[in-house]
Amino acid sequence: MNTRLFKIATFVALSCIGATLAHAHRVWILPSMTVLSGTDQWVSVEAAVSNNLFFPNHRPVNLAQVQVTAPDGSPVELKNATGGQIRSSFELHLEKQGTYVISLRPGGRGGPGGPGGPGGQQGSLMGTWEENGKVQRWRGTPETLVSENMAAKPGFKLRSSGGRRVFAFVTCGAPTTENLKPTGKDLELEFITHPTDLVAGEPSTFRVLLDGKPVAGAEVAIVRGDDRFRNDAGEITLHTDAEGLVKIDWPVAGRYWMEVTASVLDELHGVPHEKSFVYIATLEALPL
Amino acid sequence: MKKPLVALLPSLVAPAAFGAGDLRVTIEIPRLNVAEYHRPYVAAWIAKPDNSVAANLNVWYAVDMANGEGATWLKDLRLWWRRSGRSLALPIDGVSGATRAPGEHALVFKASDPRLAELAPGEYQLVVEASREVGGREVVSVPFTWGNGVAIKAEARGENELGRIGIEILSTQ
Repeated sequence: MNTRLFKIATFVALSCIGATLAHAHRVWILPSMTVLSGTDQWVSVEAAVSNNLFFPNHRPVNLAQVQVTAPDGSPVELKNATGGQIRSSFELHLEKQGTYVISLRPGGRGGPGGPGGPGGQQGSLMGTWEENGKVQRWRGTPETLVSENMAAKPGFKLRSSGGRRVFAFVTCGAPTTENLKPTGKDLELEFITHPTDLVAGEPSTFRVLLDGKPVAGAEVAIVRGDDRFRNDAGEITLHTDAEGLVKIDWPVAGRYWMEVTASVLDELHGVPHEKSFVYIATLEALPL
Repeated sequence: MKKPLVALLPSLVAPAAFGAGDLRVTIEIPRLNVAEYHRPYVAAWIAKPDNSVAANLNVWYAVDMANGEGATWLKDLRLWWRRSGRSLALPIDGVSGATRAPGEHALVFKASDPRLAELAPGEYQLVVEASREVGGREVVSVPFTWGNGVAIKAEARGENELGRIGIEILSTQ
């Protein structure tokens, strides 16, 4: 009885890998404030992998993967950085006026988005095929794909993760865009509306880019923080239009977790291969 | 006991001469019965119909704090900060000033003030925003038409952080 239940649970869990694993454990970077005035300002930042927004209750992030850039693009040192059991934290001294970008880069074993980390498995391949009416699963690398001749399996398909990037933005003074410019690599956002200039009741527009090109039909999900005080988290799911644009109406002021997912279909050694990318940002919509 | 106080008020209210074409803005800061009171930060500006700022009239904040620390809370004047404050170099001569006590404050802007002299005729709003440390925030707007020499007298009332907000221009005709 228990064994059977466990099998069903395992199957459900496995079939969700890649598609919704990110929903099970949400990665986030949360600055204490996103809009500041004056000089010599500080913000404190928490980062964690948790089920609730924005409450640490699962794992910290790998501080070695955290990058912060100043408005002029120069790196910013993490001050008072602490890697805890269920969260990581640090402070930033905002010595320049403008917009700072805080990001969590994929890579590094055990870190989110990295090999062995939640939702990451970058570089590893997941394959499925059907045999005797049952879905079979395989995990490997491009090398084992060839050496094990997986392409011979009936209806063999591959999935992989292009990594997960996590962002947060902080502006002291007037917003700037120097370090927000898309690089033309991986999944990125072009901020038509500045990410620290978001106001409840005013629509914000972002463009989703994959390798610098607009992505039509990319999924953009937003969830407001404090979800553990609501029965329904109230996730809003939107899709980009033909020009890769998504327009978000923030229902109320608050901190939002935004997850953008997009995938590309190609072939790897003759096998159909879906590579999916995830872009996450914590955004703050202010009341006007 | 109350009468002398009332009698004193007009002298407090009209510190500057007020003539034809001048603009008088009245900002009332209500007296609040709260456990912890700090004088509010207050910004007043003239807004165009598209919400852009035509002229900054005043921003009252802790302008004298060491190391410009008083600017830390300017972002709490959220609307003003977004519409113009964040793009300005502070303090601004003739605009920045210290916070003020509860009461009615009259500000007179002479017709020759560049902010008025260069204001194109049209529809505007006087916008006043107040934000109080460990307190609330409120925005009050008063629409007005500028530039035809006709007298203007209009007012609106805030509910919590602002009292009476008045705008007055004497006819030049």
